[in-house]
Amino acid sequence: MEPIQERGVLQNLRTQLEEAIVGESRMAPDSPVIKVSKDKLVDALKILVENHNARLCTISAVDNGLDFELIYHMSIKGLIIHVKTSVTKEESKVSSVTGIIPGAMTVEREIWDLFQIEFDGISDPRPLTLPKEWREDKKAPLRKPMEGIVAEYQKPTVETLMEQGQVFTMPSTVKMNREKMKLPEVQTTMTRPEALKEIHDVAHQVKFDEKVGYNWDKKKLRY
Amino acid sequence: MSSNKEYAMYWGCWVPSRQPSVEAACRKVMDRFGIKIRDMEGVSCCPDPVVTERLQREMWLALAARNISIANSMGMDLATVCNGCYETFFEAIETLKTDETLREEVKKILEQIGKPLPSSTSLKHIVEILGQDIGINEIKNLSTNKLSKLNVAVHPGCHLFRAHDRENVQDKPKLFEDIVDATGAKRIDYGIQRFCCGYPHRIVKEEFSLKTMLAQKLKRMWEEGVDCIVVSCPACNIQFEFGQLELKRKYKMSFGEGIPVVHVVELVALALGIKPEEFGLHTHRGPTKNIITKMEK
Repeated sequence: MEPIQERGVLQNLRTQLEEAIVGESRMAPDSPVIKVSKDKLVDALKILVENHNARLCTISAVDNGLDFELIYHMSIKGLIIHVKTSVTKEESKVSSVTGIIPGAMTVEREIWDLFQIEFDGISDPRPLTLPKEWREDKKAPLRKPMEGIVAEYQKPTVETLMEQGQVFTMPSTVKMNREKMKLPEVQTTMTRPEALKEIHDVAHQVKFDEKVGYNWDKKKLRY
Repeated sequence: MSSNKEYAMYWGCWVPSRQPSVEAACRKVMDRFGIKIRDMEGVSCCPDPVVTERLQREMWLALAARNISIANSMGMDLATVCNGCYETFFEAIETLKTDETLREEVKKILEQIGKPLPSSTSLKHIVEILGQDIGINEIKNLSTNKLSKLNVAVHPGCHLFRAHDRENVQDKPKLFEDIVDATGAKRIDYGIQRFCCGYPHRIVKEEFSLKTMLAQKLKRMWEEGVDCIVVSCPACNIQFEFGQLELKRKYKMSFGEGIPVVHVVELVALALGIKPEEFGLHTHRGPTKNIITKMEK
């Protein structure tokens, strides 16, 4: 059961942020984690700072291969709440929180240096820990190459499965041969859009798309 | 012969889009024996037991359960002509029976797309339909005895050894051999029938798959004077057929003008006297014309 103070803080976040909270978990039994969408990150921290006098301990940045995870560790009279958000590697940009927490500036500068994540609106954008030329040469030392869990050889299988629900396309020569053999029309997800939609719904539900890093617009893996 | 047997036929990805002759032969053979097969509307990939299952078991199981659920809604047992699809459905049915947590999870996922969790579905490989529903004697009786000069090497494929606790792992491979014998073709023992064709390794390391795995089997078959390879799996078929073309092109390794490859259901079709052109035997990439010249007039 949530302790009194923690319950009030979490309830306030839930009420004000509603759908912007995309996940809740715990880093330790007495240490809740609230995951928010990137565009509501500043709003979430503002609620904690203005309504609960929270202070920022530090910000952690984690490179997961495809996305970064930024975790803002906030302290409220000994209660530590972690506000987490995801930043895609393609974008590598997030709003600076220096507008509401001026002291966040040094951590944001350090993360920018080490991971090449840009903090939009930061009060002082100069490099902090690395020489100037490191940032210009785009050599962020802690930034990993863009990669996901799907190995190179698995990519065609995954992309074709997501695009048509089957793992092989139908070549025109086979189509012709099928007609000559008087074989019936193929009735799979390849030719039944409503059935393919079910496959996509399942992929969304089990978060297969997120896990493998599938870009629905481009119909390709992101790497 | 007429039969009351009726199956929801899962053709998979390979057969309709790469080996339509297997589908055509299967339809004709089943029709000849009075077994009804019904196509399954809206099925997806089984999904494959190598890539998708390893990436995310929930996705793999939910899609497999959805396919099985379609067979359920047709009120029929599920049948397949592919070892890989058989492996997926076998494993999925077992998992849904024994893993309560995953079963509940899959139930919720299927509910969201308006499909019920499949119940009491039986699964049959085409080898079981040929060998058990139709029967070895029935195949033997109806065979025209035109294949007696055809030396064949059987390759059951790894997933045909998949068995329940109550079964012997050799049951289905043995049945497969019995079917081949019933066609009248001469089955040649080349010693390494159980050896994998190398298809799964192909997508990871092609040279190993072709030179170390495939070529070993082909060499032994060639030395034993095999005219034709008989498989029960479309993926093995592709490996033997395209693999020979690639061995020749990339590594200058060849076995005469190539050893033709057929699915067991195609061999049965030939044995029953169904004309090769009726089910498109010529659409294979291997020299299947050599099978026809070996057939007795």
